[in-house]
Amino acid sequence: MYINEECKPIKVANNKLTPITTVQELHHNLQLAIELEFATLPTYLSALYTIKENTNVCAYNVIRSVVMEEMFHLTNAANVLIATGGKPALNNPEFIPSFPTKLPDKEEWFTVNLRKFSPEALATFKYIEEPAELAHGLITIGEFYENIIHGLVHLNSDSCVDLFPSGTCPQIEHKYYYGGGGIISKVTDLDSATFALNAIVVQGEGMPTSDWDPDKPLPLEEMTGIWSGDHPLFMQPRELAHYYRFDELAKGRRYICGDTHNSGPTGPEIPIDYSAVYNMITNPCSKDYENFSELRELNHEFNRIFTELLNQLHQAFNGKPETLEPAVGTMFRLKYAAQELMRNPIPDSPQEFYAGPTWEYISASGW
Amino acid sequence: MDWLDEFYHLSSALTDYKVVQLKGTGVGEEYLDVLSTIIPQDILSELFDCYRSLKVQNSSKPKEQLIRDAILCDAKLGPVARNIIKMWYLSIWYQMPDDWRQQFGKPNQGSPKYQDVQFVVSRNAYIQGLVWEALGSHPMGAKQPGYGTWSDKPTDKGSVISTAS
Amino acid sequence: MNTVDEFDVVIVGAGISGAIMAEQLGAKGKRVLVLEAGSGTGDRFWSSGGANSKRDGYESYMDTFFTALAKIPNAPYPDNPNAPQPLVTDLEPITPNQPLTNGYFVQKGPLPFASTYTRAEGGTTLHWLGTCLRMLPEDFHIKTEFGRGLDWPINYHDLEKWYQVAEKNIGVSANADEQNYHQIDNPSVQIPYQDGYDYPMEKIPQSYLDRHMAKGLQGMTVNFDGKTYPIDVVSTPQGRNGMPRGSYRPVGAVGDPDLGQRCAGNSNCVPICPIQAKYNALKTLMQAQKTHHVEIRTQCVAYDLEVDPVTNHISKVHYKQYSDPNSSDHVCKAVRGKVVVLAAHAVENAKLMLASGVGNSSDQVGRNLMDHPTMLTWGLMPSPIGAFRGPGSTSGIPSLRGGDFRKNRAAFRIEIGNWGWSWPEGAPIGTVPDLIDQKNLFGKQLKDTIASVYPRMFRFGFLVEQLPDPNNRVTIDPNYRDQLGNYRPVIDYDVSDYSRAGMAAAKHVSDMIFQRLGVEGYTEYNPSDPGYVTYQGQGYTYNGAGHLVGTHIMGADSKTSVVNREQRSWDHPNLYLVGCGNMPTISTSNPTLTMAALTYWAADNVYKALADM
Repeated sequence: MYINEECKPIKVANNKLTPITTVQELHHNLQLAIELEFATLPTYLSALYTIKENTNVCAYNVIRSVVMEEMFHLTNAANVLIATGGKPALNNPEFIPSFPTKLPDKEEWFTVNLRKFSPEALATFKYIEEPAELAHGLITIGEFYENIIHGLVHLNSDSCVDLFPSGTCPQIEHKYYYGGGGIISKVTDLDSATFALNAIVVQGEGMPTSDWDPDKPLPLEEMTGIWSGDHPLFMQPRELAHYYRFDELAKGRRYICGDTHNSGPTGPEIPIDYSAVYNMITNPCSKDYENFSELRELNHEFNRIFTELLNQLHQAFNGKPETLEPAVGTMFRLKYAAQELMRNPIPDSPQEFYAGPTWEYISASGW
Repeated sequence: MDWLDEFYHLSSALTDYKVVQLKGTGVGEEYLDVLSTIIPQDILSELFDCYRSLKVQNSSKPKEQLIRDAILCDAKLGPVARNIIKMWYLSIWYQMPDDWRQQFGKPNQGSPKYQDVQFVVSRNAYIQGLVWEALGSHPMGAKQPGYGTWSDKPTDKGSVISTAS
Repeated sequence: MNTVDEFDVVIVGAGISGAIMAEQLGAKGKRVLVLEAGSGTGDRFWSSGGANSKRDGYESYMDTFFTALAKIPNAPYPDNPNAPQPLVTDLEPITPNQPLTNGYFVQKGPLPFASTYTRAEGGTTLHWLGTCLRMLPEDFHIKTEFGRGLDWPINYHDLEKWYQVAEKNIGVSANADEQNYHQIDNPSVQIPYQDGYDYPMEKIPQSYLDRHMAKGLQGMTVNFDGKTYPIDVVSTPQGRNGMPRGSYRPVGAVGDPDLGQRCAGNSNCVPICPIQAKYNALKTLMQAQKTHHVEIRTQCVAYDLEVDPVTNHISKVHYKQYSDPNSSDHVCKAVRGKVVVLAAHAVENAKLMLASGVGNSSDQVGRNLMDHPTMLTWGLMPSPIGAFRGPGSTSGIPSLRGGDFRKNRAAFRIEIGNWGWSWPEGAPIGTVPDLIDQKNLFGKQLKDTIASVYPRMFRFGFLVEQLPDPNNRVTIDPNYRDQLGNYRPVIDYDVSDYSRAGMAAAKHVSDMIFQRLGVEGYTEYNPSDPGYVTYQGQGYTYNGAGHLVGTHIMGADSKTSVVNREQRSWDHPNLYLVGCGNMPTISTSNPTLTMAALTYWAADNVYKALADM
């Protein structure tokens, strides 16, 4: 499913999503949605964890908040899949792409790399979160979800289909979810399923409206961004979609009330220091460590933790939602293991690259 | 090898942590900076030379004993080595012992960044103290392990649940 | 002529009781001013601004904490000579007739008062542990029941509804069917909870140590005065975010609300929760400001209450406003409030009243100062119990909190500490140098020793009841002032035989538990300890619990108490006092929850009183 060789963005004007007409297709698309949301995490987290301790506080918090929202999206997609009688599958090597990759939603027009926090990384982030309206003739995440919602509507109107059967696995409840992103609500019918999926699109790409106007002011409150580098205000809940939050970092400026898509951010500067970043090699792979056993072990340890995380998430979505509790602890361990690697220079690297995790699922036989 | 490498290898032997683990703290350079500001260059040089010669020495004695004999027992090098261990484990520079200061210490020239008094090396250093990992936990106030982890059996370094089937 | 700002309510102190008062009255449309002596972080979590306009956020406290050598409860909160605060490192044994003056307190002894508090916006909740125990019904009338201490002018049932309000607003994690102690075979400690009531969040998971101990102590009993009492390990209600019940939404950090919605196990509640998963009063202050009726002025030290000679009302509150904590430059200002509320802390409230000569017709202001003299015992468990993990304490042994023995000696609650020997020995930072310098360990031996010993460390804390004693008191003396010319508290303090007998009984229980669990004891009390006392030939050491109670006690009689049951001064119709100073007895619960419940009640009383003004 994934294209793993480095390739240039291809615009595929005629690429169309196939309408969903069976429950099986619906489940397939929702599974794809889970994979899509999860596939963004290694790229966001790689950049996030290369930021040196106590530096780039704004950027760190923005990326972290987006990651939390991606987890919220993943959970929403999983809840819809569970509610419609499907079984999310996260515990296999195919669940995660190897990098560089394409996003698994037929957006075959840009490449996702694992990069240190850098302008290049932010460019990728913006591609990932590009609003539908900017990508005429291309398929975006928003359109991908829209297609799923159409499928839900279609199947729900079919009296032969029990779209929301009883006796499905327990969904992830609100009480297990915290730290930003949103409030998880239970999926029981078409309305709640649509609500859950729309929440994803709204956060990622902004309002899914057809009358989008690039000169219309973005939904910002009057006081937003008027003080230079005012971190607490930066943290205040805003309507800005991921794309624009990354755009602020890329341009090093805040969007303020009155700014539009076309104007770009005109507010005060955001302090960003690209030198306070560990120089992680782009798309780390196990080959980079083949001559260095200690680094190889560290990376293996990271992948063990990563595998454990995927297994726990799989369990949480397959009948044991309480497993989400230890999974949070596993996510913290993943962070510390990633940072340990990223602080290690790769010996003899002419470009003075540092190590980074390879994000691989280790099958049971690989222990 | 430059001093930083020498410092990591000596530190690894003194602390029993692998070089990648020490580098993985991100604060090794800061520690060496403290050390080379406060300890006279010739003594540091001697310490690194001494450890390098131990590594190539062909002796039937265990390496630990060689380090004790040549470094830890030495009136000049021993206190320096112990301060290196304390820095890695506790993130604190402790003032060198009085008799060492009288015999080997040199007053710092000018107003250097670090003085030979007790201090926490830095915020990051505190967070990277090895003692926390050694005692099976995390630095108090940092590297949070997550909700409810304090309920887990302590030896549980996170048993991996494999559900792949 | 200078105009004097006028408010419906002027509150002195931006700690938990001041914050509750401000939020409750602001929400009802009253115009409120809060004067805070110390500095604040505004609504910022992260520090903001550039080098020239840097404004510190809560995160700046973390910087101070990380680089502090002594990580004492006040370590994160910078020293402020204009609003000085006591430190545990000030403590020393007191030589007779030689007051100890090295810290903020002037300690006349004979024993040192060992507790401290924080003078900054948010107050001592910045460094509290978060324990939210209710008092036992019998605690409200120990004079009648046991012939000891004082009765309260209210009882448990009067306070119960306010306990519920406080538990919801602080955000307490616990299970009511456990906290009612109905599972404990000692009727004296059982607490009635309203049918169907439960806490806003599920109980915080008990530590591995707690569970290990609960298993080991199952069925254990002790005998006092011929009666048998059970030893039960019970989870402790905590003001920290856990799993919400129903539609409750945990409140995250002020300035970054995504943080702190769940305790993440930073193991640092005292001195500072890095993510504010533990409640602190900054959260209530933020809610107060959201009412748009509340103004908070930090760096404003109230020093005098002016009394209208005709009405006996407090007519003005005088304060000194400074802009730099390190400079004594200040301006004197005054404000008026229809109602004035002192919420400055037990010691500071008393100090301000004594300095102003108000509210003291009973001669009880400053008297009856209490704490929980806290005796520690510590040792090594036979197997690793995962020390140094989780909140400071997640369980205790509450089954000895009440009983007939209170006729003869103090009751106590046992707190199970999750952080190894950090309190008694300063482990690991204070103890590992010895392994390197004296035990001559390095490399693998050192690492293995730490790995095999430290995870087995554990300690008990025995929070021993102290009775109200008029001679344990806060006074002022013109010879002792701070940089702004304000009084420093002068403290007379002793620990009575009643409490010492409680410590002896506690040590006895500890010894039996150590025997039963096979604990290798390391407890040591030295005559050089500041809190060293003897009882029947045996030595014990107490520490401060940080529970400063009883300097302006409530009562039914204006001749023997400072406030009435409405928490209004007997002497001044528009002066209310709030905080732990109102509590006539301390009993065995950490006082914050009871104080918060009382303050919600007091806010209601103030609101009703304003209607008549």
